[in-house]
Amino acid sequence: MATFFEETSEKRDSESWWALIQSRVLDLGISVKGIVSDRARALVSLANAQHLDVVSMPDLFHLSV
Amino acid sequence: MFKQIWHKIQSYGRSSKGESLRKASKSLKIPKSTIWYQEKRSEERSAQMGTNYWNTAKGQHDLKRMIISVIYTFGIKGGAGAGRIAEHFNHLNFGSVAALSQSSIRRMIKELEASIVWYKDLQEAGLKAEAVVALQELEAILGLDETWLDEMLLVCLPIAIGMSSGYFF
Repeated sequence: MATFFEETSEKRDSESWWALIQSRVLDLGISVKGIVSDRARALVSLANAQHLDVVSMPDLFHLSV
Repeated sequence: MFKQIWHKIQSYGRSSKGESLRKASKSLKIPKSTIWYQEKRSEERSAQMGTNYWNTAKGQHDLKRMIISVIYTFGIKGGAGAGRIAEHFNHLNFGSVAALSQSSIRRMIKELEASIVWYKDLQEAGLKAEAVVALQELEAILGLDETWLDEMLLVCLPIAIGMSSGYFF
């Protein structure tokens, strides 16, 4: 499966995510309509009005292999 | 500066015109002694190499191409050092037609490496510009999560991508 990014990071806070989403997704002109996550606080906050302002959805089966 | 003078003298072709040094000096606005010295060096090079080809414009072009090709193929891609490449050119007797000392070759390797990085940057900038045009119509739902290998990785996958026309895949 294609990925938008897979980047090493020391932090997993919303600002670390936001910087990557801006440079690797939004800067390409892609419009984000929603995000799916395990409901981690940083990921949920990406969907708020200060960031993407989209719907945040929980993933159905969150598996660790 | 010297390269321009050399090109001027070479392209003027005094000997083929059968002109005197004085007349050529006046036409080119270059001292007689300089013309005489450059012509003598050119004759020496031709005698050493057994051909005048490397003094011609086409020869100069081919010479540059050959030097860069050797440096790129054996120096940059093959990892041969400047000393080894200088030795190679010395075996071919090219030292008399171009500055091919070890230090000159080391400088050319650095210049070529810098040009390759510059070319890569230009290509990436072009690809990014193309990607922006191609992706502008795309809409996506992102799947986000972190994972760990040696270090933590932030991963972003497209859960669904669609066109603004309504087509989703």
